Amino acid sequence: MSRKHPAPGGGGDTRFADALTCLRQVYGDLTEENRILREDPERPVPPGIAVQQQLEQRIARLESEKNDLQSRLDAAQNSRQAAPQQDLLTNLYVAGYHIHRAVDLQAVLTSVKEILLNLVGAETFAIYLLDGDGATLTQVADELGSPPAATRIPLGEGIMGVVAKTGISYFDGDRQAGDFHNPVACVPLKAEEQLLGVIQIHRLFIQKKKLTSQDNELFTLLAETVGAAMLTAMLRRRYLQSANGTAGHWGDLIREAAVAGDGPLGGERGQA
Amino acid sequence: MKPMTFLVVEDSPTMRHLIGFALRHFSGCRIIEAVDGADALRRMAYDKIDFVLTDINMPIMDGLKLVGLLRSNASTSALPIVIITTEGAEEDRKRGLALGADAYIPKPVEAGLLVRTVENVLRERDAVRA
Repeated sequence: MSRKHPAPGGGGDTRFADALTCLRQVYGDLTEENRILREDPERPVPPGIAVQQQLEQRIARLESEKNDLQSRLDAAQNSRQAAPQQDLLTNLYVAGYHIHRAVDLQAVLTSVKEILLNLVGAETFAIYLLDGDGATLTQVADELGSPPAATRIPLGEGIMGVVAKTGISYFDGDRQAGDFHNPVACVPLKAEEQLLGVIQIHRLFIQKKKLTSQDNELFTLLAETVGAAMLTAMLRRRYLQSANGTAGHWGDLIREAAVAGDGPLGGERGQA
Repeated sequence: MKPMTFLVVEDSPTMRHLIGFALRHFSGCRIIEAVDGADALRRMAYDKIDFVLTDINMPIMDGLKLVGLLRSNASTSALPIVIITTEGAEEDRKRGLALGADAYIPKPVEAGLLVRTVENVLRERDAVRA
């Protein structure tokens, strides 16, 4: 079978060229129509693609929720890690505030008792002060619930005596309960490195299983500040006694201290 | 959350200070202090209270008596109440919760635990309302 081709330069070439032009126009129209359809947001989406888009949207939503939960979890973990530090700072602030606001000896001792009961969780304890002879400690306050084993302790005798003599705290972080001879903690009270007294803790509350490093920080605060508060209270009492106990003389003491160069006025004069 | 008014019932000034300081976590809150249960009732006559934190062992009127009175009074029966006490014994905790306290915190109080406990009580109450 043979195939006839149009003769060159005949009418067949023209028809072929016309058809080709027509096809190109149709192709151009279709391409343009497709472009418009693709850009139309309301064009119907084939079912397969619609499901895929829904899944992608859901994945994006879940990713967003996951990120949100992760950031909340991170914040909670950070907060939990910072909590013991915040608790410690709160306790130190409250303890320091109440020790330094007390101006008489009884108020200082009351503040110390409250701190031991409420911030440390000590159930039984006693506070001893150094006698005038500098050789014995005498009990001045307690929360024992029973008569003390001894109200006067020679320096160097037992754990408390050694703590008093060396000025170094004794701290047992493994026990909840002890007794007079075997306390869970013993804290020296000092002012300018001079011993003024000792706190002895015998037992912690039932819910407080043992002393922690936070308690140790609190003991350090007590050791360094309670002595100074006691000294201030004793000096104030001595001054008031010499001034016949009249409250107005407290202001005189502040003015005298300033004139003597101990107060802010004296300091300024010294710098001038 | 709108600023709340807390009533702190505690005979120890140190503890009132500690609890009040911890509650500053709730921005804009007001803190009213009472030294025992009877003082708390007097304060409540003058101030609208949103939340009560009370010690158990107090002179004149203890915390358990206060919780009982608040729960039996129509105007205060729905108040959130947290009990704070030195006694960690199970019996004390049970008595407080049986009287209607929402939660219990043992002494020595940790500021962070106190804040979390108050937040939990508020969240649980919101959940019940929803």
